[in-house]
Amino acid sequence: MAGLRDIKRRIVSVKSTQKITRAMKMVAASKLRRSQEAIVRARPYAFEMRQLVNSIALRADDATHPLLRKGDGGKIGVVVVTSDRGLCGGFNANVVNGLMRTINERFAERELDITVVGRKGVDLLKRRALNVRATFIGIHDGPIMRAAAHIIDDIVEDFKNGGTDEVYCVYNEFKSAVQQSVTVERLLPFAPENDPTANAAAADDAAGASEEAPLIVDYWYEPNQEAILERLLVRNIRIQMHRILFESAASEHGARMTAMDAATRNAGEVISRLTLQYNRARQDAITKELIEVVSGAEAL
Amino acid sequence: MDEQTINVVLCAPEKEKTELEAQEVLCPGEDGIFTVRYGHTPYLTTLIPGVVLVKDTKGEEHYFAASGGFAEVHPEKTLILADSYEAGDNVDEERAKAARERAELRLSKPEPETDLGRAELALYRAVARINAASKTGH
Repeated sequence: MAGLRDIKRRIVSVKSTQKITRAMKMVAASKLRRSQEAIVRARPYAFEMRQLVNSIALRADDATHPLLRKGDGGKIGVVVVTSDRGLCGGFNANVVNGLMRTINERFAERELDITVVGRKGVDLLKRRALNVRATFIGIHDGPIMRAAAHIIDDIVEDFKNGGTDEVYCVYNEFKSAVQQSVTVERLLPFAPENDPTANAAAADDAAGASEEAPLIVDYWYEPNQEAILERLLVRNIRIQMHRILFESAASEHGARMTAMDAATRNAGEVISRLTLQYNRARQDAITKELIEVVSGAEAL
Repeated sequence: MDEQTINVVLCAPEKEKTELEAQEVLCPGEDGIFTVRYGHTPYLTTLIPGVVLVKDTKGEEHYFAASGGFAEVHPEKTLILADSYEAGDNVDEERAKAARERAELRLSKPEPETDLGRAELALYRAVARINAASKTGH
């Protein structure tokens, strides 16, 4: 049996670990609240804008703007969003697993061009044989909007020049404080992905358009289509990237809070087990001492 | 009249949506102010800083200061994606006036490092806020 001293030392050590995990949990909880507010505020605008862009993509010819061009099986760009810091449970591993699964299931034959956001993602992907083109670390230290533009602008440029034919983003979507889900979202081109109305419209065109079908009329653009699309599409992709960074940040704090809560509870269990063990050992020592005294007295 | 209303949605980054049922809405488009009523043709335009005036189903007028962005018009729906917007009632008029003075000063005595385009936009934004607050429209 471990000596009294050893057990005592372990109890002290686990207790100090528990203090740290508890403090981290509390910090994560307060950061979570702030980032949760931020994502809830950021979403409506981003969603409305995405809908607008989808609805434009549905109407406009893909040739009207380079960001609407549908690819033909060329390179695929992937943006992987992870955190800079660890101790947040499966947060980063989940993203990386999601990335690997997507690659295996959907892009096994395609050439990839990967952009990694977050130190942990960089570390986790280093060992894998992937074509990582750019990495971004410490984006949450400055204004997020600038970071989003910084990350996405090169990718957009590359897409415009035909370097990539599609761009996806893998990130943790914020569901609630205790739930994050890895999401694979297509950033470019803006054509609606498997949109049923798009197929219906195509079918209608082929069949000479039935009367009940909602007529899809192109917008009247002012001042002109090119100018609006250029501004709107570039703005949209930045806004989407911005939203994704917020999603990921809120998810990270949520994941860390959950992980640290579990760790704190686990430490509590270890402490009570060790305390029990300590008390037993102490009791044994006392009993042994008594027996020695008694048997010593008897021997006299 | 019931089905003749339009659904107006105002939206800006980092801000809650505002949704109103309206008879008509006035927007500061890049090529001029335009009014939208039920049944408008699908229309997409960029906005300049100015006042958005929404007349709701009860005939009440809601003023908003919007600072540029986009407007998407459908027969039954108008979506205003502003870079930022503010209800006229919430505008701090003193601050808006101070902002206008600053912008005017910068424009009247431009220094070499003054970004004239930015100063001009700031002036437009300040004027939009003042107008929205005083409910003068345009």
